[in-house]
Amino acid sequence: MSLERKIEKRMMEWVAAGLISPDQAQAIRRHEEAQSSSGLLFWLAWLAGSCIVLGIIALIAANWSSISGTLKLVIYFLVYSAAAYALLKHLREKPIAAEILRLCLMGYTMAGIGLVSQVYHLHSDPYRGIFFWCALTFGFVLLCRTALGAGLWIPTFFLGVGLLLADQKLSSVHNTMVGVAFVGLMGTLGTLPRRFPSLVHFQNASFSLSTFATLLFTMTGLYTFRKTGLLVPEVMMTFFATFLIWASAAYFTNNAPRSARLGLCGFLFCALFQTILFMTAVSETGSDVALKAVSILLFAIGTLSLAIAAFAYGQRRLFEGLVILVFLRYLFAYAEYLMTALMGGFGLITFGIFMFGAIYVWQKYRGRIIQQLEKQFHDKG
Amino acid sequence: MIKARLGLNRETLAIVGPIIALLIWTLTIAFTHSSGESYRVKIVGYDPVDLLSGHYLRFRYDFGQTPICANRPESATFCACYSVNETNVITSQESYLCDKAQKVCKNYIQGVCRAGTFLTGSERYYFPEKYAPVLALVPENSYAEVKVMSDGKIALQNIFVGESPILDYAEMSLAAPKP
Repeated sequence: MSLERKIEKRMMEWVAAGLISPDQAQAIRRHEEAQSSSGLLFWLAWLAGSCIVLGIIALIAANWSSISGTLKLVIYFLVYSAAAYALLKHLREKPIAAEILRLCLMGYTMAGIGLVSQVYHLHSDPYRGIFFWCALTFGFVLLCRTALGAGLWIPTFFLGVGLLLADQKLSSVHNTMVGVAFVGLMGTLGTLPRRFPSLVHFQNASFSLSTFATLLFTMTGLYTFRKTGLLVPEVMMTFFATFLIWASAAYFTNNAPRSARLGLCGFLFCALFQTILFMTAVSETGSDVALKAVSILLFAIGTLSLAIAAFAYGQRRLFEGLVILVFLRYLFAYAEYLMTALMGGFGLITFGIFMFGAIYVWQKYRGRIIQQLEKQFHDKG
Repeated sequence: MIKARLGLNRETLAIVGPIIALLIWTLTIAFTHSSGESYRVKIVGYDPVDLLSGHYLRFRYDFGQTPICANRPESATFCACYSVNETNVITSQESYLCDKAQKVCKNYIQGVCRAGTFLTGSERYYFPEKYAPVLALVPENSYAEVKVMSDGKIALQNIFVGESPILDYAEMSLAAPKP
């Protein structure tokens, strides 16, 4: 059940029990509406802040010769100090503005590293710059009230780790071991005392990103399989690593409903089964249609399980996105196997009809499906 | 206790910490770049673009005929002895592990061997975007003015084309009538 419905239901119960008056209930509704409009305001402000930071980075990249390097650095540090002062002294009572400024300062820190490198003609391995930025901005991430800070920090850190491993030229097994150990370490963050309010955002961002990574690698694996007819060891290792990453993220995510955990297990089972299928049955049979059909079916079941789990976590948009992903997978399968059998124009027309049909079906049954799921989770969760 | 006395809390540390760290980093680099002896090294290279820091010339130092990285393991750090001629240009001589170079060489430069190339970590020169059309390649007869630190690390100061600083050369090239 969505948060809005939960609040509405509870309020009706409280009014019926005489705990609050109808006027008070109405006032709460108005307050909640204002909160949701402040959410929109936050996103717009975030967009504006991002534009400003990107503009600053573009200005730095332009490297104006009319301003000396020293002056550029002085301006940079003055602006940074002024923003920090504003954050500490004037924005304590303005959470949206403070959050936007924190996120902007994370980008501004990156711009500063670029500026110093430019002024002193420095360069190093990219991962060093990334880790430096991660170390500098970790405090900001912990202060953030939304998951955006963690959502920006975690993939950047992963990128740094990836670049470091690429630089070390380790074997795929070592890469995987390091990756899994790293994720395990990150997963333990959830067990730390809640001294910083954003640890929960850190967990949620890790969970969402690892879900995305798992899906991405699954699709990469499918693509590799389709291309080569066999699963190369690196991809196989990546599969296993991402399953572990994902499972650990799911495990450490707080308050997971039982039904959500079942959904996660369903997804993991299907993904694992797919890998076993690839490992045992696939050697040189890249064009085996039956095998691919089974693979796509497993992908669909797994992804739908994941979608249900996401719904149970309250991630309705992720739920819809995953359902669309299953639809797209079948659309690609259709394009691969059936469109080629038809002449170009007809193939495209049927492709369009197929898409319209799917959208129509989803629009028609979407509300009913969501209602059923809400009922299900409300009854059991 | 100390934190309380100083009036610090986690939020202050998280916000002020990056500024102080960046400032220390910048001052360290500024100090490093202002020390050491100045020399010239011949260079060759081209112009790529960095999304964060803008256009830069990417080049390789030409330390002369002695191959510093011949038969050297990949990504290992080495130091090469060098001599300076009458025009203040550096020419490398034998290379060693840096511990040995400290004993054997009077002066030495430090770098990493990558794909048979000796990289000092200072092979970039950032320039204003307006000069990109005339600095797609490092101009012929270019020299880098560098400072060599006591530990053999190199800090790039400027690039000269002949006797002109490269930005003056670029300005003149932009102003020159096109054929």
